Amino acid sequence: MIETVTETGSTNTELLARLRAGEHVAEGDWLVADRQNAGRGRQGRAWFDGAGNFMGSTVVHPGGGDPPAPTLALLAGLATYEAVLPYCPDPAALRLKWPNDLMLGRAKLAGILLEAAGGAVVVGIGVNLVAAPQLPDRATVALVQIGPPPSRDGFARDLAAVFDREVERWRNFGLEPLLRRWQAAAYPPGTPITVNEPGEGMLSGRIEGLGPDGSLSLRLDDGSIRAIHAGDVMLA
Amino acid sequence: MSEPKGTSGRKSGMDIDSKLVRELAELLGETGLTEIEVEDGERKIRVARGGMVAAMPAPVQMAAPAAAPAATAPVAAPAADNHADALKSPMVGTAYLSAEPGAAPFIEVGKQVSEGDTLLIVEAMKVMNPITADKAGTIKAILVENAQPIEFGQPLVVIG
Repeated sequence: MIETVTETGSTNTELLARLRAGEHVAEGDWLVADRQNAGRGRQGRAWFDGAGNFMGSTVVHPGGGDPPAPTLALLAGLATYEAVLPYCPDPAALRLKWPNDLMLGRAKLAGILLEAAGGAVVVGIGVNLVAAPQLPDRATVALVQIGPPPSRDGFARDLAAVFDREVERWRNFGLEPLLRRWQAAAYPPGTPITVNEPGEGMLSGRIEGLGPDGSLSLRLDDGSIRAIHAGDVMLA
Repeated sequence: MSEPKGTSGRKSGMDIDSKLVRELAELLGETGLTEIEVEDGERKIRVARGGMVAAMPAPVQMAAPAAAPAATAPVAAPAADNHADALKSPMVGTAYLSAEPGAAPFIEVGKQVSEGDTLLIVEAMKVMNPITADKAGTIKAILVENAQPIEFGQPLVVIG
C-alpha cells in the first residue's frame, strides 16, 4: 500500500516513529510525501524538498536466513536504478556509485538513507524527477533535464513494484546475484575515485569492484586493495 | 653507574666473552663514554649504559624482560575488566557519537541512560544503526571516538 501525505518532516522519521511506537509497518508499504519540511540525508545533511519530486520510505524486516541487513543499501540503489532506467535515453549514463547513490553522468539524481530500528530497516529514497537543488559542493540533476519524467505517483508505483521484486530475489537467491547485477549497473572497474575514509582522511585509487560482503574494493595508487565499509566515495 | 647494562652479539648470547664485556665496561667507566662497540672477525660486541639500554636489540640482562610484564599488568587488568562489561559493536562500520556533525553527543560519561536509549550510531554501508542501551544505568566509559572505524565485537560503551 502506498500512503501519500501532503507534508511531513521526513518520511524516514515518520516510519521510524511508528515502528518505535510498536506499530506494525508491513514490507511493501510506502509512505510518500508531497513535501518534506525536514528531509534528511546522511550525517544530518538536508535533503532538497522539491515539489513534484519523489520522496518516500518503506521498511524491510530482515529475517534470520536473509543476507546481512547492510546489503539492503545495495538493494535499494539497484531498485531505484531499475525504476529510473526506462526514462533515460542513454542507459549508459545512469550509474550506481557505491553504495547507493544514483548518478546521471557525474551528477547526483537520487539519494537513499537507510536507518535501522530494532530488527527493521527503514529505507528512504529521494529521486529528482522535476527539480534538482543547486549545491556548491556537488553536481545534481533532475530527470526532466534529459526527457519527459514520469508522474510522481506513477513513479511511486513502479518503484514499489521493483523494490518488492528485489527484496524477493535477495531472499531467494542470496547476495551474490545482487552483487553481480549491482556491479553491471555501477561505474566500471578502473574508474578513478577518492574515498573519504573515517579516521584516515582521503584515499585515492580506482574502483576494483565489490567484495563478497558488498564492501567496495578500492585499488590504491600503490596497487594494494582496500575494503571500504563506510567511506564517502567521490568521482575523481 | 659504570656497570654495563647490556651487550649484543652477532650470534647467540652463549658466545659472549664475559671477560671482554667486563673489560669494555671498565673502559666505559674510565673514558666516560656511553657506548663502545668492538668488532673482531665474526664477533661484534657493543657495550652501552644509561638510556641506550632500551634500544639494544638483544639484552643479555634477564632482569629487564622479566620486569616488563609486571610493569604493564596493573594497567591491562582493569581495562580488560571494563571491556568484558562493555556493549559491543554488532557490525563493522563507523561510529558516530552524535546524530549529525556539530550536534550534542547522545551520551557523556556520568550521564544516566534508560534501557533502549540511543548511545551512538554505527554506520555500515550507509545504513545507520542506532546502538541502544541494553540496560539502565550510568555511562562509565565511552571507548570509541567520533567517526572512528569499528570492528565487529569491538567494545563501545560501558554502562554501570
